[in-house]
Amino acid sequence: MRKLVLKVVLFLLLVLNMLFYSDSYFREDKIFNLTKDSYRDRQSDLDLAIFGSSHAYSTYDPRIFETELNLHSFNFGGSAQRLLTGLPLMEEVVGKNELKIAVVDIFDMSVQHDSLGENSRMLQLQTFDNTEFSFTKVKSFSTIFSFKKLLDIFPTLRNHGSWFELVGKSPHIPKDDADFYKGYVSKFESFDSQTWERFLTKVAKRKKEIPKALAKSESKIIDKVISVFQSKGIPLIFVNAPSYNYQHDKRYQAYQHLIGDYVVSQGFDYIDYNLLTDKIGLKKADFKDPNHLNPKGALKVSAHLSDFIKRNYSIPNRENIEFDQNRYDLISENFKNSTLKFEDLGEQISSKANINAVYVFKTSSYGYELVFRQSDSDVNNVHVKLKFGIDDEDKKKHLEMFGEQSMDGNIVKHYPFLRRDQSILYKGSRYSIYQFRAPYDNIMDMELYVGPKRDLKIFDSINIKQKN
Amino acid sequence: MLFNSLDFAFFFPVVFVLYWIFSKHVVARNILLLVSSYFFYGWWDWRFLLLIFISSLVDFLVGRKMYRSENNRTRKGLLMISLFVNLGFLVYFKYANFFIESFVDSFSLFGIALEISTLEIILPVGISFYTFQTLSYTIDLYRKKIEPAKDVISFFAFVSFFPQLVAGPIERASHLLPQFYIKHKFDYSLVKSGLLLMAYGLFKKMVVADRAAVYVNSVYNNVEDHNGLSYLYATVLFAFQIYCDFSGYSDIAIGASRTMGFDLMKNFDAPYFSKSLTEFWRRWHISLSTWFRDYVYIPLGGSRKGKYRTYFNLFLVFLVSGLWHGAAWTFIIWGALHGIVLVFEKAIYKSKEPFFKRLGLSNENLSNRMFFGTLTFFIVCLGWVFFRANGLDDALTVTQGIFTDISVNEIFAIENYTIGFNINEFKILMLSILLMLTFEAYYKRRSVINRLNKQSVIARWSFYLIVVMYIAIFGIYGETTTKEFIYFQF
Repeated sequence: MRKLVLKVVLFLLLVLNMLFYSDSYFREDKIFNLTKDSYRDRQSDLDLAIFGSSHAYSTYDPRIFETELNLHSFNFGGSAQRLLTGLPLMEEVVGKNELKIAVVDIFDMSVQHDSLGENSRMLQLQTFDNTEFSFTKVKSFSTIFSFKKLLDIFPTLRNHGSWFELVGKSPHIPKDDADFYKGYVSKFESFDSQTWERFLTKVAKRKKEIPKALAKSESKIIDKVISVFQSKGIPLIFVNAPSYNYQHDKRYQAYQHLIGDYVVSQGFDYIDYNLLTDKIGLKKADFKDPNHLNPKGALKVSAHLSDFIKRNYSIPNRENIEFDQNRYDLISENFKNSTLKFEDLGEQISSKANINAVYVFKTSSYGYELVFRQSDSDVNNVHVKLKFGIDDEDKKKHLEMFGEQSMDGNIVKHYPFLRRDQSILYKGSRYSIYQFRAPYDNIMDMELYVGPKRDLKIFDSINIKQKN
Repeated sequence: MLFNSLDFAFFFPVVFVLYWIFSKHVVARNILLLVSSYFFYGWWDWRFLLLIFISSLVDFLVGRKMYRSENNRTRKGLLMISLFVNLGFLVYFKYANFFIESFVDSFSLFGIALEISTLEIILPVGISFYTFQTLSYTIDLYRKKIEPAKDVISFFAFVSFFPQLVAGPIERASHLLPQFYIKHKFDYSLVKSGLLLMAYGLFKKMVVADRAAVYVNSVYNNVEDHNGLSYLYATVLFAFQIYCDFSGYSDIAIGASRTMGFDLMKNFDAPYFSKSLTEFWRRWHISLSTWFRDYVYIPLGGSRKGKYRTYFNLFLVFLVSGLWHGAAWTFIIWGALHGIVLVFEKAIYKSKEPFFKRLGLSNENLSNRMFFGTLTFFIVCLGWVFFRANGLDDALTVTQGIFTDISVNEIFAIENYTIGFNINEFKILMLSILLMLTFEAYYKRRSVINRLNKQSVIARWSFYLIVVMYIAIFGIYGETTTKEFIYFQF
């Protein structure tokens, strides 16, 4: 009997391991997969980690912390992520890194995990599916989903019905208009009045009672988060990302006061960015939607937070790190490590195209960013045309784009989709940002034209070998 | 609770461990089995426990009195009490509404509308099975083939034994009851083979039966939207669905019992490899067919009262068998069809045997086996049309469609294979059916399990892991897809 029990336990452990292995193939395609995969790929020891919901991942840009503080940073924000959901993730990150500081974005939704709606519960799965198995994860999962649904903790068992769609799918890539960097995700866009009206209609249906105190479960989860970092002596800052709706929502304001008072009473710093919008110059154009900032807004908030950390925490930073995929760091280093660099473009380009320098660098294996330093910082946009050649080998791998008829031995000219330009003001200059993906082994004869008629050549005949 | 549920995954290991802790004390062990069986059964609905309790108590008391009495009239009277109570429950809970509806329908044929409404009755799970099991006890006692149960605990545990309570095998008291009197020694190899059998049962149920059900239900629940070819495919798939569902349950029941040292009778013996319907009924639901043979067919006279009486007895047994399966005319027709074919086989076998021998049709060569096997399978499938259809009209539509509405061109039309699911799911279903048939074809001849046991531990464990992951990935389970076993409705 003892032999049987031992064998059964050993077999179950093997089954668990098989499930852990297969789980990565059965995860649904969500943005947090990319966040976690890119964290795993980098393998570097983190100094600064940011946790929270989509408010966190669209507000706190690791690029700024890297540039201003010289710290390896990562944003672990996940869609609708509650603190209870993020707890095992925090434990995992703390366990695997020698964090020097942690930032937790917190607002009313973060501390509420009882009686979640179906959609909210489903969104927690993004984080759970990308967190390693642990007792804390089991506890959090069974609190949110119930004990009976515990087996759903394994994507293999939960999504097994979609085995054919999920297994063999390519890893998640960000949408064409997403600005993604080490877990930070946002879009170069702002919202219009129609969006605002729709948002107000949705908000009008929400609860309106003003809470007088935090519920026991709400303060308890904050305590649990604190203990994760306190146990390792990691400084912790609580923050609240700005919401365009803040002034209109009394319940939200009351919750933030209660949360803020509570964390301060526990001895921690709390910054509510809703109260600093004037100080840091946040405007409607800095929001991509009423609850989330775009990269312009994220730059302002992240710059303020990094300055706050610099002034109030003695964090030993790393020296001489260069972040080659970080536009802000490259700007600070005058683009000395960019893939391509074109300066002193001449009077004609400077006056007609509003550009006095162009830099090209890689943001990922096949992702690129074009940064145009503008001549006139008051003018917002530049006009760009980019094309390069694709040979038959690459065309074969992307038949859906090029078609069989293009297999003729000729180099076909390809115009990549350039993600929408958005200009940012950084260190006194205005820069226009364009991003594109080039998932090809070879980029041949790349040409760049600018100007209102896109006829002013910046460069041509540039070849980039991406794969040996 | 269902065998393919998380509840059972927690329940069974707990019972298993406690069972072996108490195994040295027979009474304590039987009490544990009784309590856990009642817990298992009450998980569906606690009210069902009252029925099984009354049924068990009546038969226990009747059994004791019957054994002590030498008076035949008294003994017969006691038997009648047992039959009345048990069959009374069965008829009321299972057939009351059927009889009421049939009564009303028969008058409506003459244009008379009766204002009689049906009753709100919940069918207790497994009532057909445990009723037959306890009846076998009282009938065998009456026939003086067995002695009464030694104590009330072991008898109650025998009636309610959870592995086989709700869908068989229908055990005989002479086989199962004595196993409750003795200590069972822990035998690692028996436990291992029991667990393997349970895994095989889960594979059949979750991967084959429940997957086939998707296609079958899509066609049979919307008969008017489909054609002859999809009727044919759905019927063939239903043949595998019902076999894998039912035999899967039996395998889990037998396997679970084996891990606790109990031996249950074999209930299926690769029935779709039968070469005649007679052979089919020696291999399909063996516990039920032998029950009807011993308690209905033989008491009616069996084959001892002349040719025509034999045919009548055979036909009647299958008519009743159809009714046992369900309170609907389609089940009765299904039983009648089988009865007719069996009578036909019996009639032609003896008289035409020399003729078949001359044609070379009675040799056991491969071509004959394939021909008769295919013919038998086809006949069985035609019967399944009535078994599965949602009413007589649908059954006739499907039957007619199979014979008159099949176009050869449609065989290659992919839409006929992707009703209810996509082509990849269909491929997995075909692969799984092939694996199952291959295993069952070679199981006895090639001693598959013995061969497996001779492999290295790495090879064996790799195989077990593959099986578990195959079920985990390709099994049908989850919130919206958990399926009850088909035979629970009986």
